[in-house]
Amino acid sequence: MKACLRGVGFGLVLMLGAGSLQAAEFHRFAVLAGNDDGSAQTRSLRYAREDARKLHAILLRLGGLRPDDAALVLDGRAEDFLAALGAMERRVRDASLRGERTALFVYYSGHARDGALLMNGSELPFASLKSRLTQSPADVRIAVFDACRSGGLTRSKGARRAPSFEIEATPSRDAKGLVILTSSAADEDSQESDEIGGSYFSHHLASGLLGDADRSGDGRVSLSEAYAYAYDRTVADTAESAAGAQHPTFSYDLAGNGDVVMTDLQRPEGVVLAAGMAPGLYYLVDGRGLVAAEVFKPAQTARKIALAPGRYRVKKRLVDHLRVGELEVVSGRTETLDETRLRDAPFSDDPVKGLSLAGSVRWSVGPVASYQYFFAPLARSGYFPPTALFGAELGIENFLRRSWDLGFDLGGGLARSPGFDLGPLKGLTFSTRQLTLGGSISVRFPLGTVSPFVGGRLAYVTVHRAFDQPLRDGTQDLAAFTPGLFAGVSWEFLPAWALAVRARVHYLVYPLDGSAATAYSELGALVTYSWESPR
Amino acid sequence: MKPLPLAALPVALLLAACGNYSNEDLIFYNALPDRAQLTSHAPDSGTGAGGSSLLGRGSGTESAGVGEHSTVYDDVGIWVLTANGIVYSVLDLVEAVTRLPPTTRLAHERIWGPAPAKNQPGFLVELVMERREDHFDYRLEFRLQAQRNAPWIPVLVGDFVASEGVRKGVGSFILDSAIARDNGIPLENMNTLTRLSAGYDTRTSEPLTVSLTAVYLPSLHYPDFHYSDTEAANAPTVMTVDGPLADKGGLPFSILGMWVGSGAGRATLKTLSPDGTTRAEVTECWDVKALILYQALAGAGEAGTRSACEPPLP
Repeated sequence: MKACLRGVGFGLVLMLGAGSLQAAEFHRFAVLAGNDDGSAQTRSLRYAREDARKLHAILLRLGGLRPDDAALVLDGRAEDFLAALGAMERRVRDASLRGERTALFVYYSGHARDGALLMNGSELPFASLKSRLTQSPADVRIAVFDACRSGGLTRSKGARRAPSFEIEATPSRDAKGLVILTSSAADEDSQESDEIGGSYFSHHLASGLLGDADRSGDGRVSLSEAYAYAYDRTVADTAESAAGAQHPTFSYDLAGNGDVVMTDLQRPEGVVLAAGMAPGLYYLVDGRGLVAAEVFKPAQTARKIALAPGRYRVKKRLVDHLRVGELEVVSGRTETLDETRLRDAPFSDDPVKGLSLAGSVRWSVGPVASYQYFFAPLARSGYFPPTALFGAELGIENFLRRSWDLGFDLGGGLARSPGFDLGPLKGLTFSTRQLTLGGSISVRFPLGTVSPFVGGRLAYVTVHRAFDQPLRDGTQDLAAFTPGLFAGVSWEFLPAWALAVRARVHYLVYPLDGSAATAYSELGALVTYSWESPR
Repeated sequence: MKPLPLAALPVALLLAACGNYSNEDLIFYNALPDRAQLTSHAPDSGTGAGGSSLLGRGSGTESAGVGEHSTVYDDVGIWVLTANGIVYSVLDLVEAVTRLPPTTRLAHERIWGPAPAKNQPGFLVELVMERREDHFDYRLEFRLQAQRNAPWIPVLVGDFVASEGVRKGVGSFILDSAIARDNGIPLENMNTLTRLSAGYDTRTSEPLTVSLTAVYLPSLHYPDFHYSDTEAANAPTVMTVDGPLADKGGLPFSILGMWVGSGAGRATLKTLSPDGTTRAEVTECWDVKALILYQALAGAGEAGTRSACEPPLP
């Protein structure tokens, strides 16, 4: 699974029924925040906002949360987030005055560093946020932080880096207190993945809440079930990643020691993976190419996922191909998926596109310098002397497919021939002026901050040369296409800034004098600045 | 629409290529006669040629006096211009077809054209050039455009033996105006000629020699002539004209002119009787303003300062 480093993800507050297994016994409130942009020193995340949106939608649909009782803050600053939290706390207080039991769910996905959440150029220290949550008027407060080193929020008291809560199974109507879940330990990065279209932790938390975490089979997903599921799946998915394994943590300070129902799966709409389907991991992909849910289906056991109405594609990855299929979830109906609705497909038909491909485009631009060198000595001495080329390149990442980039380049250079004899014409020398315009398609293989890439390029080149001697026809021009291949590696040395080195091999398609070979190479280096824009 | 086969891509890319980028073309191009090299440079006084020449007046006995504008200087200039005009007309024919890149490139051959001849309506023109080592032969030929199987008519043939260097060597060409005229091919400025032959030697830059022989239509009574011009940077330019070469009733004549870089020079004009004896002879030396410094008329004595002549008289 390809993973990209996630700067920091932070929470979401979700309010659930606590103590009691009946979700409806609590009046639930939630503040959810997603910040792709942390600070000027951090690279933009791809999926933080999307993670917040996804959990917001799940809680509204399955978590007993009313729209008026939920706030979604996207790319806001710390003051925006605190303002939303303050407004929700006032609603909580009002509900409490009416004698209602209340639960507040807070979720944040984004950047964090040095003990603070980084929110669009502002900082919110862990300590002050935790203090705020501790003093919140809600009876039960559940905070989820999906951010790098967010384990710092649970470290001070009762932090556990464990696969499950140790709670009593007996429900408690008197549950009261604070539960904090974090996506990674205090010394770990949290990671995003294009393969699943989100951060690992939030993705698995969402999949669990949609039903895959319902290990008890009671049609409800409790907080402990969701955490255990998210913990297992996150550790498993990140164990082999370049950034290292990611271990979610929790801090459980809930008087009454009860569990909290997070989602109720009793709604009829959704999909059931029939018991007869092959066991394994299934991805349910929405119309945008993002993974809506991930389901691990045991053998001979049906599994229900409470998907929202809509069209989905199903993917199951085998060793050498995919099994894919389509389904439509209709409101009020449960769709049953069985093996007959799946077909074999090559990996190139992967329905997962990732958010960058589905919703935004990443652009890059920068200067390039390269050295052009024709392989044949005759070509170098008599036609195309080695040339230093300078220009600029524009790149569009994930344009055609995930990790497939489109590039355009413009360059030019001057050169002088070393001198050569041409039949009776002795000691000829000339200078050249070259202009190239190219387009390319390349595939990247991201390995953390380093990405090898290979691709093909088609360039249009014009060369003008003028002989120093008073020759008849002593100024000549050439215009031709040059198809070629290239490979290189780029290194993101700063957020949004990358350095790449690259080698190209091209062939000049021009009917030059019969004996002259016209293959050439270009060794180049470029620095690029990149940014993201909506598609 | 049927998708383009992948194999057609290289062909499409090749067809998109254009330009005149070639080394071997250079070898052929630079074996053709060059306008700059074949141009004769007249003595330049800055006054231009004026008045009638001694030959133009026919008698060869009238002349201006010392201190006046030299009509012999004018005669020399007119012959240089005449020679250049003829050479340019031939080169115009060649350059009209070689202005575009060759249409056929073989290992030892280049062909420019066939293309519609701009100044010869109804005809196609092509230049075929063949190479054997450093020896080049070429021919400029025309064909009726309307008749696909009409034979090519060679109007100009030439050769060039290249030496080391840029456009160094010995070349010659012959323009057959008669065959062009017989086939209805109009040749601008050369319709009065029957035949023109020219030779040039550019192996060394000093001196550079150009000579040509012009034969006019008998009916025109123009004097056929042989012209030769030898130029060097650090030596006087020498020009000779002899004519007529054919018996058309005109009197034979000769001109020997020499001048230096400043424009000052001298020339001797002779007209001969049919029996070969000198009928009239005049020698004039002129200064940088083309004013007569010294003048000698056969049978009439001399005037001015003989020692002022440059180059010195023998």
